[in-house]
Amino acid sequence: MVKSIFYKEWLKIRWAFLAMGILFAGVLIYIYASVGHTFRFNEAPGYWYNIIYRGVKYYSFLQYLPLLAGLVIATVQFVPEIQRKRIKLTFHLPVDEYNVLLAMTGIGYVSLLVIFIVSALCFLAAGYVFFPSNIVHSALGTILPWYLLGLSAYSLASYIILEPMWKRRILYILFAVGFGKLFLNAWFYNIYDRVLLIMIVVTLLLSVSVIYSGHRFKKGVYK
Amino acid sequence: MIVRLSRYTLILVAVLVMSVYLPDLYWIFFDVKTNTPYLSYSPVDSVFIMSRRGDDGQIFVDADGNTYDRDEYEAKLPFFYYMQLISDGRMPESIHGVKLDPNEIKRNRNMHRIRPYQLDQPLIPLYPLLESESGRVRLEFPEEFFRIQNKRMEFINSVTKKIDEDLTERFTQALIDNGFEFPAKSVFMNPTTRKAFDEGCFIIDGKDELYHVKKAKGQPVVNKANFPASIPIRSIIVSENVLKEYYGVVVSDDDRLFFLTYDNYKPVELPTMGYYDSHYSTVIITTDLFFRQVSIQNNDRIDVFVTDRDYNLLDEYHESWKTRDDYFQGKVANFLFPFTLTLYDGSTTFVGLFTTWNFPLALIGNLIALIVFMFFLKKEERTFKSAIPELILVTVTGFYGLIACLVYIYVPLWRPERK
Repeated sequence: MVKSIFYKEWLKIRWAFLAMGILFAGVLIYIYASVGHTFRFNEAPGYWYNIIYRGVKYYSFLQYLPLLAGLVIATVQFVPEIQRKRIKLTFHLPVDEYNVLLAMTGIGYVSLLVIFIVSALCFLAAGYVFFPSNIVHSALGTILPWYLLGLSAYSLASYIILEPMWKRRILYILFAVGFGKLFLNAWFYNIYDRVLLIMIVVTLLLSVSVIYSGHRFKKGVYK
Repeated sequence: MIVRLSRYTLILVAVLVMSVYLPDLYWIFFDVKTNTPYLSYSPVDSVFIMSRRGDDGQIFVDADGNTYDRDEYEAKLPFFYYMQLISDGRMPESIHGVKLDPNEIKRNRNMHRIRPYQLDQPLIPLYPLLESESGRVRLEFPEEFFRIQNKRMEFINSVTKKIDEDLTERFTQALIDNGFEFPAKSVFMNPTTRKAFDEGCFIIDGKDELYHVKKAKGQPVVNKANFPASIPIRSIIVSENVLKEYYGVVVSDDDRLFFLTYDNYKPVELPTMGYYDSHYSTVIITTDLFFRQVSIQNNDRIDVFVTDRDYNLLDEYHESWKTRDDYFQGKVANFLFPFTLTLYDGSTTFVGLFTTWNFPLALIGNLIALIVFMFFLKKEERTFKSAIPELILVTVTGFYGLIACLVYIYVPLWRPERK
């Protein structure tokens, strides 16, 4: 049964997954093509100086990409479920409703992780070609919160979509937007280093938030 | 279990989000402006003179309460406004028998502003060691950046991205010959080409010894500073200036300030009288032809000390004012918001979770929130016993917790599904 659910979910997200994969690849190619361009047309020491002392981020294009990926995957996965309340059918299957929901979000989560990890590894590998390890590692530390935001956004978007009442959905969106903004400060590189652990814990805790909406849906709440 | 976990996580996130944004929103409407004076010490009649924003524009007063217009104010501060005074033909020939030469005034005039977040910021440990005796008028960035590894001072060429073994070997050897112990603890420099000359960098080695390292005609120049161990260095703000009296300002771990002088790196302490807190105060150090001035600015006060050129204290000025917490708006805020969370508090460049608790005033607000919540529970026909975690949350987080609990409403697990 769970296997069929995985297959059903994969059918829903495969095109979005592919599109996001292509988008990440495109952006990475763009980032390093422009880095290469800068090295050819500017003085290398000046470029290093700007990165180290002025906080110029050659990878700033990546900032909103994981967020976008999280929102897109959540949308293609859960919007069809609330159209004519299809999710109700799932809840009538002879398996535990919460396990079904966890399996559904699990596959979304894993597909996001695949995109994120592969892109981060490519980002690292290409970085070593152009920069010394100190700059590349700092860059990785700086993009990590953006990736965590992508995962949080997926969890938050899926529970917001699954919520039955619009009145509550609006309040959820307010909290979610406020929460997301906390990950996007960019006044310098590596500024989140000291709170990364807390961010990881909160992101992981949020991964089950879809259960709350699923529970409300199942109970047919009206307020 | 998992339903509970998801609900409590969402409630906690909501509380966190509200404690960041709601106080911010409140202060956008009700903030109080405090007006910090800008103080200078007049060499003409040896008195503190300040400009500050009054009810109708800029006003100029001295410490004795005399007011001045702008022209008089500028005339009292010839070391600051000499260009304007010369242009107006009002520049005095001399003050107290000292002849005034514009070039000398300019050479002696320096200002260093040290903000707390500058002392604690992320840094990629790659440093450009400028050529200090290039023979060129303008300084240029070298192709190599150095980093201090476990056993050597390594130069990486930014164009070829290869390690320059020759340069690495020469500098590492020069350091070892001077007793340097790898790895280094910190490196301080002024990495810019916009300065008159270059003094290289200062490095603290593994044994807490301070070293001065320069590149002169491609060769290493290493000096052990023999800096007193009794002054634990938090940071050195290197600032080459044509006065050539000091290399920069040393901030110590115990919040004292020193000039690192050209006299064999001897530290000269600047007066702070315990008012300086390197985590919260902004300090402005100025030098001019007659005086050295240290202004320590805090949220609620300013403390200024003036010394002569031999660093003997001449005069001091203290002023404090009410912060927004002391006003009515502040009391209301403390009542509404049991705590405020900010990601940035000025003491560091890093993001942190900085909380300010507003107890005991917040207790009143929290109590009201708790009563409202109990009414709500009654209306929902819930027993207090079934809502113990929520009751605790509202008691501690007040209105934040109340709103969060009302938004993330409790749906009992046993309630039958509606048909």
